[in-house]
Amino acid sequence: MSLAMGTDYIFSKLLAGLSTLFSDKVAGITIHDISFSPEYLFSPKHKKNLFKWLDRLNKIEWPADDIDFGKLKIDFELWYYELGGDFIEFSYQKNYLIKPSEAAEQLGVSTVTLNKYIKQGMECLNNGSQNKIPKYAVELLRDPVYGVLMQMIGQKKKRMQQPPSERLGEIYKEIAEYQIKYGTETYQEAFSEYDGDEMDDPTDYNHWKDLVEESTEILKMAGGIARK
Amino acid sequence: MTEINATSLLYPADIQEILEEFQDIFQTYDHFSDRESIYANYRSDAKRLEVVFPLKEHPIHGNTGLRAYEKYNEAGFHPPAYAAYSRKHLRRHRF
Repeated sequence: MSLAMGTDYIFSKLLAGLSTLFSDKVAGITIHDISFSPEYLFSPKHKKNLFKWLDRLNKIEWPADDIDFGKLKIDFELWYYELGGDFIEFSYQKNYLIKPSEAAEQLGVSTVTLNKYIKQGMECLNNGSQNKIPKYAVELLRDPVYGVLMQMIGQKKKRMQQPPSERLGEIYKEIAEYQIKYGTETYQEAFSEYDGDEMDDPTDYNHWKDLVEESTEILKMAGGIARK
Repeated sequence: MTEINATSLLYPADIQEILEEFQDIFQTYDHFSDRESIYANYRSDAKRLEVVFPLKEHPIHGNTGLRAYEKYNEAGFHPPAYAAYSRKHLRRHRF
């Protein structure tokens, strides 16, 4: 069996498993077909992954708790994108979704902090009238490894689908927050006393600077600055 | 703080590999003391990658985390063609 066929077989089995074995959680999965990335397909990393997935297929237990389901889902999505996929979306059973306020309480954070994690990729669905969070996302954020992976996948998905104008709006909003925080219009004014590397915590300086640079690049791409 | 200035090509950090290798020293803090819980943070875009890894309690320093930051040059980071880095920063923070 060729590598592509073997990969397709295992991938299809996992996709079917996620759709059917977790029907108490998952209502459906929407996915674009993959044209396997040859560079990844023939890489040592992929060969190693294939054996891991084979092993994992044999060991899936059900009913699975939220964290086991969440880990499988995230690992599957990561693999899907590595293989060359560009769109995958899960829909959930209604009773598997909770309100953000409930999630915040379970996690021991404010709704403001929860919104920060949602912006950073914690899965959150808009059900028309309100946002809802799948239960696994709460459990995964508590995991020091999968909390990062969940945010990574969420941000990757957003970047792939977000138009530049929307990203520009986000940037301006974040810059405005820094302007208010420091009471200055530019990061140079806010940190005029320092060289960025000499600060105890240069996080805000670096982030503000990066936002300005990114906004300039987006405008260049759009042709706005070139016209001046 | 550890800083690396590289003039040769550096590849972006493989976060999945780092998480797998060092998972034993990472820990989140659920309903932590008298303040909000502390979980890992990840932010990535074309200009930079910034991750905060909360660490297991240190016998001397207490509850701390590691903030790792890397910035990409004008070409940005467009996988799989990796761009050169300007700097990598690692900082240890106390929670």
